[in-house]
Amino acid sequence: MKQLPFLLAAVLATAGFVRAEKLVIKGSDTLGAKLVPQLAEEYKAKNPSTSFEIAAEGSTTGITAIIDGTAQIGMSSRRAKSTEMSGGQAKGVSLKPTIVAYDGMAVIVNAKSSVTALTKRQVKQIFTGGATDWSAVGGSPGKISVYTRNTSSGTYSDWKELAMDKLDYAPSSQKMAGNEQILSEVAKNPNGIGYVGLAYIHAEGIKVIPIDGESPSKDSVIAKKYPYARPTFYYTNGEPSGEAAKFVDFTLSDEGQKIVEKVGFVPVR
Amino acid sequence: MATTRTKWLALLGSALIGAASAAFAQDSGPLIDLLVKKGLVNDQEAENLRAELVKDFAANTSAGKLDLSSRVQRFTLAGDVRVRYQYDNETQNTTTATSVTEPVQTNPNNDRSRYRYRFRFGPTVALTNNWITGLRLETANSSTSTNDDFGAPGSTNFAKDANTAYIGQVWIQYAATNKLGADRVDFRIGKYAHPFFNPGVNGFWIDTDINPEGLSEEFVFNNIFSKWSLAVRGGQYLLANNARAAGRVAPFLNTPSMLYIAQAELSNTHIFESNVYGIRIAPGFVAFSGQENNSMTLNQADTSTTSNYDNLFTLLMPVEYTFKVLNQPLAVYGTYGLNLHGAKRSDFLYSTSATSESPVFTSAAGDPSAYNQMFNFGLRFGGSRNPGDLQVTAEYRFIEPGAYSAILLDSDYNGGRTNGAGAILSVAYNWTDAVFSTVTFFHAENIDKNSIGAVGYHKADVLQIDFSAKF
Repeated sequence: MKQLPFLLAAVLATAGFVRAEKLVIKGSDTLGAKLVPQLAEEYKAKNPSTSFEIAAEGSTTGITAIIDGTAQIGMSSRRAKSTEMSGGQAKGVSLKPTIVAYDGMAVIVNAKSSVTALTKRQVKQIFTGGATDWSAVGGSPGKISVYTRNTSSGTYSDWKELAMDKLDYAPSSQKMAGNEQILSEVAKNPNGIGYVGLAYIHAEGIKVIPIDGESPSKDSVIAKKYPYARPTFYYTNGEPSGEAAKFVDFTLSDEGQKIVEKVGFVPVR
Repeated sequence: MATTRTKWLALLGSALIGAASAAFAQDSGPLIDLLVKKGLVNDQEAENLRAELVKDFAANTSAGKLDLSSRVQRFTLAGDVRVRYQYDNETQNTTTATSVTEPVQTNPNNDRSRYRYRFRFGPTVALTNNWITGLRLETANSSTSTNDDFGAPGSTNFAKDANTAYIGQVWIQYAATNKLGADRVDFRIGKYAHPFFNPGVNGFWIDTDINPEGLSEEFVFNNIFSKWSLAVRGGQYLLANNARAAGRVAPFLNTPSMLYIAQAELSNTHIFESNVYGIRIAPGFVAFSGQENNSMTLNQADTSTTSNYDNLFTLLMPVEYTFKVLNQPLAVYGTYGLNLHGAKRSDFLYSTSATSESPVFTSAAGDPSAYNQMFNFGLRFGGSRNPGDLQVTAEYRFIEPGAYSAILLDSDYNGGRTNGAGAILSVAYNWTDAVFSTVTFFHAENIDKNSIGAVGYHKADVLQIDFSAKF
């Protein structure tokens, strides 16, 4: 009987080991390329028994993963569509959004570009194909090369809604896998233009263009003055529970929001 | 503050309860944004509200349960259903004309009653960048009729084996404004309703039941001078995908037989209370491009042939003027047509030789070469869109044997044949904006009563009583 406490301790320890969860997080490249890995690293430092699997392949994949039950948290830089909501409901999944950070989609051009400012109307013209030469929007002559995200990206959808009045992208626009790829192409191409999240604007070879006089910044996003500001989300199946709930809480904690700001996003408070 | 917050939330709540509709669920974004802007709810509360609205929309509305491709900008389902009683009294000419006197009628009282129906139904799908596509199912496989029969002879009682839907239309369209120097352009390819101005009951020079197959283009220039607009239209339609046809011998030509239509419409119109007033003038032509050589067998059976594709270049001048009388629209319309190849077409129609390239006339033929003109004129009084609208149309129609092709004519008038002159009287009443009744009477007689066999009926009377619903 004297051995009972030791046995109990061994069982509990084993149970604790077994309970060590892998948190699967899928979705947005905007969130998943930098922010969430850093949050996960910090979280893991405090909770060593938790492991992470993070896949940043676009918001659509994150929402789909929640519906399919292949992830506990779906990262998304856009709101779930009604068809996704109904698709989830058909499978008994209730998509629950939690705002984890704000972002401003910055318009970037090559650092050597003669363009220094644009209006919302000009941006719409450029991305829908209405303006195809920089001289049409006040720049030096040159055929505009438009770089966009791919169709599974939430940023791709949000940009259509916020900057293009839901019109379609110019047929000549080139679809890139992520923010880094857009940065790279615009930095190489003197006639390039694209959009990236706030976390990506301090890169070599590009410059950020103010829109209607507003530059993307923490202040302009919080004040809702920057026209291309948006919330970013974690999606869960109903209220988050277990390890996922703890990670959501951590993301929204002071510590988590400091990381949000450090990475380049705007904290929710 | 609490009062204001309560007031706004009450507004949103009452809107939610009172308008649990697709439209509200989708359009509530600006209201939620306003609540956030006024500080009545925070961003997270707003997101929760949005999510609940979308879930409610998805779970409790028909639209929310429908999953359309993201490429679809707008999905429209439309169609109509018509139930018809039809009385026909059509007496055919004898199969051959053997004397200069009027042929003896083999069945002078060839009357029958038919109880018929039709439905036409299909989607029109607007895609991005001004592209549109669609299809339509139709009853009946005839090119000039969409009617199916109740109690069709040969079928068992109430059987469905004779009730079949066919692909009546299938097309891809590009329609945009301010393109290619025009105020509006419209390009279509496939099988679809033609875009040409064609005034007359069921259309004079193309039966409205026909869905030509091929390409069409339309360029519209508004206000080219004063309030006049110009619409230029062209159609290149396939009749047969190669020249293989009865009477040909191998090797067959690998050349399509085509129907070409062109029209330039000048118009000065305006819309008042859903009715179009003003003037429309639309000169143009209809032409066949068929095999190089004529064959008697290709030309004699004008009503049913699918290979009579030459000797047609008919100039057409449709005109319509609509003005207000007794606070109702009164349209005066008409079309004059002249087949520049009418003499040759007529010659072949009257020839009795099935093999010779040169026509051989009977003594009854007279001078068929003169048969190359067609026209209609009519009056149309009243509207046809709103509940209580009564529309009365009276029209006279005259089509000489060589003026045109039976392939394109309205099958209800003179059996769809040339060599007919007569009148049409039609009365339509709208019970609602979607349900209406129509009574139409057609009467036609041969222009040349000595014509051979199938070139027109001796006499054709048709009465149609329709009850229709469109959606």
